[in-house]
Amino acid sequence: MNRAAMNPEQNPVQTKGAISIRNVTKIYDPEGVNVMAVDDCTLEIQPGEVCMVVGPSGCGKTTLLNAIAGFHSVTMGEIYLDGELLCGPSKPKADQGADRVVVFQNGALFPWKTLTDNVAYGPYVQGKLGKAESRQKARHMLAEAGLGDFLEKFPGEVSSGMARRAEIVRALINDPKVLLLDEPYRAMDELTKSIMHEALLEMYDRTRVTLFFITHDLEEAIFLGDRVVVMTTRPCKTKKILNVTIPRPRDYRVLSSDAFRQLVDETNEAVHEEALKAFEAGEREMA
Amino acid sequence: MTTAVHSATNAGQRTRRTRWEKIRQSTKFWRGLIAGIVTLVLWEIGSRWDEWFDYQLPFLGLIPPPSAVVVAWGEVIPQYGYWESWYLSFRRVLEGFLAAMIIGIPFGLLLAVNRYMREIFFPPFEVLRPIPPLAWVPGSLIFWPTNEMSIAFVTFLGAFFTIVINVLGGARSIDIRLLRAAQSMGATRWDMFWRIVLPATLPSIFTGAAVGMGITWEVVLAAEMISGGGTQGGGGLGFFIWNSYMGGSLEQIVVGMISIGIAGYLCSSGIRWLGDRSMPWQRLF
Ligand SMILES: Nc1ncnc2c1ncn2[C@@H]1O[C@H](COP(=O)(O)OP(=O)(O)OP(=O)(O)O)[C@@H](O)[C@H]1O
Ligand SMILES: [Mg+2]
Repeated sequence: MNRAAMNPEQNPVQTKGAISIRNVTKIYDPEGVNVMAVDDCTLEIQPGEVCMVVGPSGCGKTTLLNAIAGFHSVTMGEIYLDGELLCGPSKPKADQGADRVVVFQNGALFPWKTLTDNVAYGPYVQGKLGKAESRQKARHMLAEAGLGDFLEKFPGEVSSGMARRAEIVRALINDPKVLLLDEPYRAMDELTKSIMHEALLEMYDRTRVTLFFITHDLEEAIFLGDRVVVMTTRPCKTKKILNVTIPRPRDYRVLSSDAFRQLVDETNEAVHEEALKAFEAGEREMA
Repeated sequence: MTTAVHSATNAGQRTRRTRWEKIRQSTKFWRGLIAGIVTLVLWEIGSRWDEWFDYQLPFLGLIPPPSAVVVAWGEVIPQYGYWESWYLSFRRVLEGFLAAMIIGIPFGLLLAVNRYMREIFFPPFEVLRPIPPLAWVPGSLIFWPTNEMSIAFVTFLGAFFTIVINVLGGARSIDIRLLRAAQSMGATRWDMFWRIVLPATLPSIFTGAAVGMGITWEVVLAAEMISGGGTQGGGGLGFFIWNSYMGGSLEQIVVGMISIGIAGYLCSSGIRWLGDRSMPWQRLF
């Protein structure tokens, strides 16, 4: 379901950033012990869609994200971005050109660069902007994200919430077609999280970039997403896809609506089933 | 009047004064000072015990008292030879150390980023590394044409292995997510090396440098004692101590030892200062 169609007056329809994951299988092979992380996973993501991915811990979500990002190849299948092959069994696409940028699990700002220099890194190394211009643009975007007082601070000097916001700005400055987020708000308190959500939605409404967002938090998944993809336990494939029909713009009042609660229950059921399976599989392995 | 003076002082001086006040008011400072004074007094009394009580204390009685050391120091300070010893040792340490840095850092980084290089060079490197630098002295005295060259070589070795192993370890343990982040933002391999690998390895480089500097001083002094003060090479603080020992001047031995302590302290402070300067983000932790 395309949200832009529901709010036609608000935003242009995004045409770039369609991800097509076709029959992807990934087998890790460290020292001959095969670990199948992803098994025949197929998923079509529309341009400008917010695709939320949930699933049991260790099921292979990060593996799938890394494949989309082109950090490693896959064993079988292909991944396309707007019809262009990103990742296949032979090799991931080498030159990236920052069309898909990653926000990592646990954060990965460069500790030796100030927030401004972190954000300015992308446009500068791609040669899009000179040193001064890229810093200028970085300062501008950070200030827009409410980080104007922390421009010349090192990541170690700001709170984890600010660091995460800066990291998202660092991704967005590259004007990517796809933003890949790996549990960006994990281990954040509820209050910070809700502020981060509002900031993310606000950013999304402006850019309409395709989001591939991994999380463990089901309410977060439904609050933010157009679709929620529930993954099976390892090896992961899509178990269930829920369409979130709650209209945008959404705010915190949505959280108490019946439609929202019902979606949470539905997702919870699917995830719980898989978590149980994962637990039992773990017990079998231990025995 | 006071207000005028006060407003005239610039901010820099004001911070310096408060810092000094802070030191003066801290118990740590006074505890350290008192401990130092008490030690010196006890040492003085212990060393002079036999002059007063006709009985020499074991160990302590054999050591010259601090006052005698100060007197001996006063005697050597105007002498050219003493400062030449400083100069010679310092030059050797810095030469060996700089050579080890210049060769060791790129070598360590090369091993870290290139698997083939690692497979070729790492095994022989690991065989050579455990050999103590001093075990190289006889061989290098034979191999190198001059004493000076063999001292330089051994000094170099002392720091080289430590620096390489630290750089290699540091560069290999870079968080892969940082490299991937750079990659996903479109960085070339060259960019990743200069802007990610190098700064991420800096802390390890400075750790290696600090440890390596300590080893260089050890090695230089021992090599100076072994090679002696002949016309070619020799001299230096190591030889100064050895010479004092041969001349039976206990006070000068202590003077030499304290001089080495000061020299080593100057060097490690220099490295710390450089480290602070080049890694401002590390000061937070
Ligand atoms: N480089 C690797 N080599 C071998 N096995 C790996 C590697 N990376 C991940 N795995 C394995 O693949 C499986 C999936 O890992 P992955 O990190 O994709 O899970 P995840 O869904 O992101 O988990 P979490 O929710 O805890 O982050 C795990 O069993 C993990 O042990
Ligand atoms: Mg993960």
